Amino acid sequence: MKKIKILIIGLFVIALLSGCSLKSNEKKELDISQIRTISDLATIETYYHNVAKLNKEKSNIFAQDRELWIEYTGTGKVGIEMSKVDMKMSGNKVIITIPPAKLLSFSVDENKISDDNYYYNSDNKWLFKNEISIEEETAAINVAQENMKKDIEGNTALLNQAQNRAKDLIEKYIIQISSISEKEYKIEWIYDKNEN
Amino acid sequence: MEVKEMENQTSQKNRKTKKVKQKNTDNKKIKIKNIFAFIIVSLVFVIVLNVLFGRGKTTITATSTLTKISEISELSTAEYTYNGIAVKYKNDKEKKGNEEYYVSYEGKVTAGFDFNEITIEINKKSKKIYMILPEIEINNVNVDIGKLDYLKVKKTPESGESQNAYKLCKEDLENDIRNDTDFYNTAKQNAENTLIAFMNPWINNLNSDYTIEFKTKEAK
Repeated sequence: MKKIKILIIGLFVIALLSGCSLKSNEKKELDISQIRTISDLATIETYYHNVAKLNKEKSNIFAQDRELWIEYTGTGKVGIEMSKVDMKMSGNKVIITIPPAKLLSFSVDENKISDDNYYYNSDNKWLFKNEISIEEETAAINVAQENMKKDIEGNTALLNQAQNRAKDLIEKYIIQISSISEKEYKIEWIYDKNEN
Repeated sequence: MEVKEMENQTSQKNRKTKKVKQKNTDNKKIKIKNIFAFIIVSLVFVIVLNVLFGRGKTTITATSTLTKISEISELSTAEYTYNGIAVKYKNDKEKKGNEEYYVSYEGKVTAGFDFNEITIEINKKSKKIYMILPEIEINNVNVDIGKLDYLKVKKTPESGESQNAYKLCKEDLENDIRNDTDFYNTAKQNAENTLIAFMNPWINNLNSDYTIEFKTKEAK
């Protein structure tokens, strides 16, 4: 009998503790996973008008098909990795190899997304609702973001423009510093088209 | 004789009543059977209709149109990767027990300065090249809106809430990073390392007597 009492009390304590641990897991400490050193020179910022359309068919005949449209502005920053710029001297020539431009970051313009940018058709009022969950809505925005990302990465004119602007920015300082020499140097640029 | 006749009549009546009762019971049984049959047929009908018309499929399509391009010159030299949790309070009143939902996010913050704002001063007497760098600033606070995950406390976040959750996460991330001096110091140190690595071969070739020194531009 005593053993059973101990067992019951033990189980009760375990249940209490596990309850507490679940609750404390609800709010985790921020996990700073890493600080990384980078050398990204962003030279072009792009603005995209994105429209995500979600169509959720009814799962039973009493429900009705639902649609959600979201329009918002997405932004992307394009540029080069400075650490991949290579400089070589050859007589009075400076040969600088500049890496290809790439998409460095992309996000949603928080000032251009609000309740007014969400459009729905109505749902049944009482029974047999076909609700669009927040997870489905998040998935729709994610598809639009990936779409924008692909568009930027495939826009060679834009990438070339970003690479050219990086070249202009770097050249300005190289010319400025060259005044410490009596000699005159000629700068030659090599546009690397391949990502290393 | 009369008694016998009466008995016969009573037993006949009883038999008749029994028969009527039996008939009623049979009718009831048939009715119940019919109701069951009707329910089963209706269920089968609904299931067939659901299979035929209730597909429950979700499809997503998206279009992206480039609307504007602007020239920038942001050099980012440090990146912080964050996995955080933001809390949505009911009516935005921050107190314990008032939580509506938690939202977990993946975010990245980058810091650096405007590359175009670097000033170079050359002192030919002391053979020094002064690179005057702007103050380190936060260049990007990015939260991956596609990776937001929700934990309901009092209320399941409704559709349309993702933009509020996104803003909440960005705010949470900005608040955490704003006063982190280690992050700013890393960005500053790496900015100097990047510029030295880039300029030194050039300077050494031009005139190896010169050395680079960094200064920070005073904030406007």
